[in-house]
Amino acid sequence: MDLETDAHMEGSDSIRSFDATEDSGNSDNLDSWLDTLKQCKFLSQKNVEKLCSMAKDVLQYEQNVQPVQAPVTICGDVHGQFHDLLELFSVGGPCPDTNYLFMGDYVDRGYYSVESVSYLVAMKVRYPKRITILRGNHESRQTTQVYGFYDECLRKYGNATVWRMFTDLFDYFPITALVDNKIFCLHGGLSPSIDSIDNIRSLNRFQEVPHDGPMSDLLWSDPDERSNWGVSPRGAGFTFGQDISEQFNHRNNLSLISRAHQLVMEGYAWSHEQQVVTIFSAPNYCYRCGNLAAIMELDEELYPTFLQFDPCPRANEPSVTRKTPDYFL
Amino acid sequence: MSFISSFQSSLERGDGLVFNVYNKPAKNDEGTLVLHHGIGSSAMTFALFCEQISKINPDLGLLLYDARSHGRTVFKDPEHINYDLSLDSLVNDLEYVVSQMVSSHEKLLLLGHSMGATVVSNAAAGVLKTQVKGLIVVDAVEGYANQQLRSMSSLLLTWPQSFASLDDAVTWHLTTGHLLRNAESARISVPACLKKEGDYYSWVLDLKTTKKWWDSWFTNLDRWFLSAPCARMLVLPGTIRLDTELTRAQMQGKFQMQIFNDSGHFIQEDIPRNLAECVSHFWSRNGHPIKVIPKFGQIRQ
Ligand SMILES: [Mn+2]
Repeated sequence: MDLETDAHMEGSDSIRSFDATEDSGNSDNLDSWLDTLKQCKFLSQKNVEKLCSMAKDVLQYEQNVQPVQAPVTICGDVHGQFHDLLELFSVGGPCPDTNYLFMGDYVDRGYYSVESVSYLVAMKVRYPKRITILRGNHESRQTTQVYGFYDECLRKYGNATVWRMFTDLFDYFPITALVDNKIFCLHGGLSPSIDSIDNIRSLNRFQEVPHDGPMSDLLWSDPDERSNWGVSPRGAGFTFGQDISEQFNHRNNLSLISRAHQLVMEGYAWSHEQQVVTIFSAPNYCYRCGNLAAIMELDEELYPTFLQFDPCPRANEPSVTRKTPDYFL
Repeated sequence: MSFISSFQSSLERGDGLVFNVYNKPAKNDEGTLVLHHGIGSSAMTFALFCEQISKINPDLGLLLYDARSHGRTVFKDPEHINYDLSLDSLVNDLEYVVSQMVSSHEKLLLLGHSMGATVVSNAAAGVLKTQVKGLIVVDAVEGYANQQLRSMSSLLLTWPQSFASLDDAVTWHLTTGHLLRNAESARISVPACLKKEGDYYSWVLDLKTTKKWWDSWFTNLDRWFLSAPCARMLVLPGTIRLDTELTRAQMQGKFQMQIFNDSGHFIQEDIPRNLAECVSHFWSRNGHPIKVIPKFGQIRQ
């Protein structure tokens, strides 16, 4: 498949049928929705509306720093690679037998953002105590309008309502989690405006991801080999050195910062002398980067085991069409 | 008269190359934005953009010029046909113009459009690296460009050799040619690419004659962009143009990416105000000390 030409997806989306549970209105139907999604068929608009409303009821009571108990399996970026998400659950074990914590970036870039986020949200509503879904920098109105989720919703539903329902729901996602008070989990990294976990508890997270400030930093920052705080090359958030991670972990009595957000070729990478771990769960990111994916199993003693996996072979890779060449000199 | 015309001057080099230069000096140590256009274009492609960014940031210096064989940059001796559009020559020209117009202590923000991006990225990673604090590439990606170049010859065959009037030329750019989307900008930029020959207007530079350099114009662009020791931003009219190298680097957080889905290739012309806001914001983040006071630890300036 050639993604470097100007491309649009052909075929399969428009003919793939909606689920047949149009009239159902209660949580008994969650299992049938999950079955539908597992076949890579997206839910009807009506059912997405019901799902988002149920999810709000669950997520509004979760905390900015959501407490999580080990054992739990921690996962990084998914980015709409739905077949790989199913592979993740087969590698890590089915939910609810295995507890899961996802650290954001479910949508954009891949071709199945709608299915991926619908599936994770449905799992969250079905097993609220067994799965935690944090917010990533792509769970925002602005980012999704540029990187694919908005366009995918238009393509699959013919209007922007489903996009609006999901992006409204993203405002409810918790922004960090704390496993057994020892392992601090979030999408991006630390913020110079936050020196304690309690600082995060006092933020108002129910809003679009701001351009700057503590909430934006938590979703955008990256660890760096250089010490101290630095301006992030990404245009949002900060970079933070090992000295910063050590101080933050020491002050908050933490053993580890677990985060996602950066592509790492082995699917996971330690940094800052094992004060920080990066987990990335989208194999062969964007269908071209050649990386492994990984998830991190934590046992009751918080001992980590990393499970790596390859991209799942796909039956129907979307085809692309060439456009006339652009002037390019 | 466009805003930038009032800053026009000529700069003659020892070899007789006379650059058509536009220079608005910086104030209050704000630094200078140096702009390089792509092949076949001219400094006037940035006319509206310069006007917009000067409104947002009046202190920012501006330096732009017509590259050799482009616009109104000419050899003094009309017999002199030094027709050399190699990357090395274009980078040497950039270094020369910058050294003549801007103090070597001044901080620089380089911005290149299309092939001009290779020129500024090469300079930011090389000859100008101590001075450059920011690098902005506007719609140039090595893998995508090299792919597009394979069909460039056949595309150029569909272009007219000349136009009966400047109005015709402007209209062609906005319609049949699908090059520009902003009529106000086209009325400024298109005439600068044309010269009067008898009753007609023909191209200042016949692009078909530049083919021998095509393969070299985008080669190593990704590498220079990613190795420039300064803040970097890639501005594109759509994500699909990213090649594997840049997809990887972007997902590792190595540069800022800004996408404008409502623009064509000439982003500076199609949406000058949006690009000016974006560039100005980039410079306020990366060209100045950080104002945040950290709750713990130090900020690395
Ligand atoms: Mn991210």
